[in-house]
Amino acid sequence: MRLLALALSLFLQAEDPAQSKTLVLRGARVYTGSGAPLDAGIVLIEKGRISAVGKDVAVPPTAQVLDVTGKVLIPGLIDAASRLFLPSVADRSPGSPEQRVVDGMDFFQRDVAEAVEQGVTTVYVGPLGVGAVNGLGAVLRLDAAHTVLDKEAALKLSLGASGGDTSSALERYQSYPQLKSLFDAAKQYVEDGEKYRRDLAAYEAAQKEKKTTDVKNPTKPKVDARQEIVARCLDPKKPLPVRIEVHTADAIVLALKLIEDFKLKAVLEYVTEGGDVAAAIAKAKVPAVVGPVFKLGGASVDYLRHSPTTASVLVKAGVPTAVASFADERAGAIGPGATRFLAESAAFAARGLTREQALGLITLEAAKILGIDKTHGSIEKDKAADLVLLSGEPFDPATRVDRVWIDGASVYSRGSR
Amino acid sequence: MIVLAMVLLLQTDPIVLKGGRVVPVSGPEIENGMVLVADGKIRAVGASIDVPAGAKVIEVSRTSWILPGFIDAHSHLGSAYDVEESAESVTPEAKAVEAFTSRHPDARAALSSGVTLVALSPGNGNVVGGRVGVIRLNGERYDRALLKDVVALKASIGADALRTDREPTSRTGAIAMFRQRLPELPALPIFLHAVTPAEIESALDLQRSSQRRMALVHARPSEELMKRLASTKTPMMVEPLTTSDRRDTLEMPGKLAKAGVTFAFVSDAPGIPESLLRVSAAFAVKYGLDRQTALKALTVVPAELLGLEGQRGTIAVGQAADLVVWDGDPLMLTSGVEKVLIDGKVTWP
Repeated sequence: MRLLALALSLFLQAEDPAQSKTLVLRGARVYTGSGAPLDAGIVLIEKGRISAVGKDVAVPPTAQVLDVTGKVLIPGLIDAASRLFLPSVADRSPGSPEQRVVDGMDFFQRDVAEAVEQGVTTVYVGPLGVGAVNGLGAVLRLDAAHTVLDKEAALKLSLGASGGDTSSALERYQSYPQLKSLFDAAKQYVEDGEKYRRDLAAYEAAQKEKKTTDVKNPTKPKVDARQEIVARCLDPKKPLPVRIEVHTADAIVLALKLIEDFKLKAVLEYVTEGGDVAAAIAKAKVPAVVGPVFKLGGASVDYLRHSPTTASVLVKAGVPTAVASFADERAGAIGPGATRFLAESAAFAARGLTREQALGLITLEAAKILGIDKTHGSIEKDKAADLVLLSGEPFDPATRVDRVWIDGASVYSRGSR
Repeated sequence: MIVLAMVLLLQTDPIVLKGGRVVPVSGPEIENGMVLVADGKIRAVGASIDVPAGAKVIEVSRTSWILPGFIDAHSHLGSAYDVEESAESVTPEAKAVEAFTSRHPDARAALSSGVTLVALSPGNGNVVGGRVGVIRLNGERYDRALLKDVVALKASIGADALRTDREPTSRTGAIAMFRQRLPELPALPIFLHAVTPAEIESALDLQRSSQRRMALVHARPSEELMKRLASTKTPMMVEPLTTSDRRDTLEMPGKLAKAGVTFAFVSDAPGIPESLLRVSAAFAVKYGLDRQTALKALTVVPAELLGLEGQRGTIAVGQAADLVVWDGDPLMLTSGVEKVLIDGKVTWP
């Protein structure tokens, strides 16, 4: 399957002059993602990357110039919690730390093309699952090959999520001790491993010196795939990020405690009542991926105090915040199609924010939370040429997506399919 | 009660909304316009109008928009689905407004949605479910929120009306029962739940044979059927659009407009909250509907469906002063509600 996608991608790239020579987009209003928009900006694209952006940029004579005067250019949109590539049926099976969502993906899903047509170029897809530990999420590009940037991008956990229509606090907060013992056990696992290595070294040294002491050959501890994953979250040098699903203010506070106790590199997900504890989240310097923004009737008790403007409150409190589609069936928004409405989600969440800030919720801020902001998320020199050309201002429903480029390759052109 | 309401209305001082883009929907837009309301009604609209002595002037930002309050022609707001007498299948006397709980959290939450009028409808579970009535989202208790207790009759020939424990159990049975009972039903417009192309065909047959005015609820017509709906002037209430809808569903409002079918967006609350009514319109515009038709489908069209044409749904002299001040274009989802007036009184915030 991947070979086919790769072949398709090569075919598309061969067709696209952007790959072979410099492409210049000239005249659009450019929302670069950092600072105020550039009017009549020039963007140079070479070898899939942005090689220059500004008002006075020297255009090489051999470059292919596309006059896009009157149009608007924005960075490719990033859905920091999507259900693309996953089945639209509700999956409520219990997860496990070593389960990777990428292994259950359908790369032929038509929702993917529809998401690209709305300017989405990168997604994080996490497992849903019931219980406290749900599995590993992945970061994917929506290029023709569906390049997987990271198969094990984060370990998804849930704290205090009910998922149902009762609100038994006893039941909901079982997940806190579960998560605490998960990390305690992983800590012990790491210590046991370190002790084994120390004991082994001592034994080997004793053997070398041919001492007939009582230094014994230590028993090698069993390798446990689950513990290996959780242990990576505790690695102080290169920690595997955790994503914690939280809804109520109480659960958020508990999650912050867990993050502090185990020094986790964490991202809060959903954050339904985050507006009530925004200062605490900001103080803990934990980023938030907020959504779903459109809550439908029949949503679970987790969404009782849902507000579409939680993201806006968090931004104002100084929390690094992204808005994501989520498409959680418990909030009524079933299915991978929700990623098509990422821009609408950001718009609806962005009350009181500037247009640049609203765009940031689904571009640069999302890239930072996914840890890919050095290469993606804004229109800046040396970043991947993920660009969306709009017929008008972003967030106006009458605006159409005209073109989409990923790594400088054209992946969508309105009217041509 | 009516006298009391009149007294309450007469006590309100005239209000002038000054500034902002006035979008009457039925007429030309006025930049930096003014609207005078007194005694619950719109008394003057224009770029510059005389401000009567004693009038309270509410300054509106030039970038804000003033629109008629949105009207939701099909909702079960604040009635928790308690709008079906399920032991029987024909219950024309039932009134949906009587299940309305004015203090329901959903009803409170709806006050800032930009929706000012809500038609409360019986469910789809009965062949004849009962009477549709209209309440105002003015935050008042039931008797003061009620505008009309009967504006239409709700009926259903869709799958929801079929049951195994009472008749009808089949679609043919439902249609036969409806046809048989039609002559004795009160002379009200009929809001008929008919979803599939086959149900829509049956609905058109019933409309023709009975000569009764019908509007179709949640219909999903094929493009061929859209032409027939247009030629028979049969209006539709379009099911709310959500992020999980397929592309053909999202494109339907645009296609209906091109085919000349009159339609209103409805929430079907609590399935979709009132606050998302305009989101349906915005999604439809994104998928090809023109802005003007989208705004009409939130205002003048539902007013017509509820028999309130000339009374509510636009900003014109003599109409009830149901006005919403938005901090921008209401079809832009970044915009929000700044102020709501119902019958000339500020009801939110």
